[in-house]
Amino acid sequence: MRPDPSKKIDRRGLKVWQITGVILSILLLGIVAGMFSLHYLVVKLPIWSLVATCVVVAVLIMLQIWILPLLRYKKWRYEVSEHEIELKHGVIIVKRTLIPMVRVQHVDTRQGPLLRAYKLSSVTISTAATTHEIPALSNEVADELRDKISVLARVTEDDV
Amino acid sequence: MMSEKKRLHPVAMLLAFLASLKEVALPLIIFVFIGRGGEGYSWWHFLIMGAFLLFTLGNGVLSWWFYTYQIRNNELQIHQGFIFRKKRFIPRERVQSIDTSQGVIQRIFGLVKVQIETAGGGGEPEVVMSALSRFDAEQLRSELYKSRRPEEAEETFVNEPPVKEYRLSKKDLIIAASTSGGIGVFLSFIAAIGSQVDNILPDEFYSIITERVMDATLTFILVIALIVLLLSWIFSVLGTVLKYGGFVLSRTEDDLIIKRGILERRQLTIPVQRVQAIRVVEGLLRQPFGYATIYVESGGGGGKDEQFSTILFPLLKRKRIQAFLEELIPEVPVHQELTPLPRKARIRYMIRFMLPSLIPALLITYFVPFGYLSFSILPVACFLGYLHHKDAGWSIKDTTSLLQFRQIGRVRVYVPRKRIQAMELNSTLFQKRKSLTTIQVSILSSLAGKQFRVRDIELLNGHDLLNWYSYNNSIKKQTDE
Repeated sequence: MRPDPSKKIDRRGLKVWQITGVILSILLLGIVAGMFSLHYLVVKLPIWSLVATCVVVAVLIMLQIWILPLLRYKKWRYEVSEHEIELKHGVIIVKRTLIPMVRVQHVDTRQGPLLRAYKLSSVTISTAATTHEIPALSNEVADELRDKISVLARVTEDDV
Repeated sequence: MMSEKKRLHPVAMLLAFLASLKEVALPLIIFVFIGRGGEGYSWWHFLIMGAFLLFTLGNGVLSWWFYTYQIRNNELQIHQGFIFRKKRFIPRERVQSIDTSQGVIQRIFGLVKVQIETAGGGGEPEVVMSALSRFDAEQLRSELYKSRRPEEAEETFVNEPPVKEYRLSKKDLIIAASTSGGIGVFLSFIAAIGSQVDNILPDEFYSIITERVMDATLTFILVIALIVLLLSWIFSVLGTVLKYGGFVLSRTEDDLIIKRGILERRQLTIPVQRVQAIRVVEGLLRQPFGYATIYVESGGGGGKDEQFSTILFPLLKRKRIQAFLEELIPEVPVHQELTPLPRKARIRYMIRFMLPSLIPALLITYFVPFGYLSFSILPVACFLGYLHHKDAGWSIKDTTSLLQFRQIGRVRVYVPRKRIQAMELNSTLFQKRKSLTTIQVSILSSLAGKQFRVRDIELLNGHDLLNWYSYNNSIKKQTDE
């Protein structure tokens, strides 16, 4: 067996995902509220449909705020060596990716407003055919990683 | 070094004019025939028509005049447009392929159309020069390719003699055409025309036809269906013959050169260095006869009908492929060995095919009388799953990986290690329980990138593949040797 990559992403990433989960949950609650107001103000809906919606939404909210972010955070591993980048992540589908340094075309760091608030960035690595993202690294780590990959990738063995 | 600015051949004006005429053909016809009132043409008809023709002509002339190209600083520099000026500079090293083709008009004037592709950027070629003299085209080609072999830069105009030529025999062309499976395309084409006929034919025609069909016996409907099938098959055969007639593949020191086409002659040049992968496809109709088609994946080139890759040879006996490729492209060593999928993966393949047919079958059973008959599709799905499992596999030998899988036809892909852009293992929870995984290999192609995958290989084998691809391992291997 090939050993797993060793580095974990920043723990604050978990918080960012949880906040995203809360925002999505508010939208879901909006749908439930809509159904209930429909039921009481306009037309009676069958009780079972209301109960079912409540249960489904409750499960989804649990998943979004609590379980999925935690699992996602726990499963994320990456490793950048002199010659290659290796990623392993995913909750339901575990993805393991190997990218040789010589194939890297360019590397970016990005951050949205939420990531910025927590001083986090994600690193995006592009080859001629694919794009890969390491989410939620602290700004310093991300910048360092970007510069490192960019320097290492400059040594091209042959052109495509 | 070609430093002066050059223009296309003046016939390009004619081509541009015809192209814009074609675009407006329908509105023009409507304007001429339907726009005419009871009392014939009036003066403004002629005015508008004249103005339009003048505009199109002028546009053609001006576009031609303002379209210049030159090679400077190792770049192909193209200037075009007179209202919106556009400059396009393409570094020589980025040119993936240079194709020439001849339509009917180019043939009359002894000219060629040149298409230049760079990596990525989708289906359309980056540069299309509609008309160049053969001399100019050859000069452009050799200038653009010169940098690859600086030591031989002097002999630019002489085409190096091809080492070997491979021709598609008439018999093979006919076989290729009749098994091309383009029927589907033509059926949908006919269906499209049929749906257009709707709008043209009067309603009475419709009601008559409907009555007829209602009255008609089953045999009548079957006969009609057969005729439609036969017609579309004949058209697809004709189409393939026109496209791949006179197919000649040759190999020079650095390039693969493909010439094909009866009405429109096309010439494609693919530098061997740019070959990303070789794909061998045994179509459903061809596999029983032991025939296959060979495709080459390169950075540029290829239309939608070829899945953005290029047909390297339209038809070849399966047995001869190994020898053929070894002789043609020794740079990409190929092999036959294959590790089949583990047995425990078979049930997953069957379920994967059965599930999508199960739900419609259940619905039909519930709503339609005798709907349970639709369950007879399940054994078929089962068998398909069995076939897909049987034909899938992988192997690695030295620096080449081989992935085999079924996509209607049986596909074999050879990818050299240094052409793999990234390798990925994906395991779902179900796969994990059986320690299986899906291997995915990404390569460069004209459409951003292409992925090949084999589902449900042994997880340990997946790790073997990763290790083979990994840098550390390739270094170890080299020092061992």
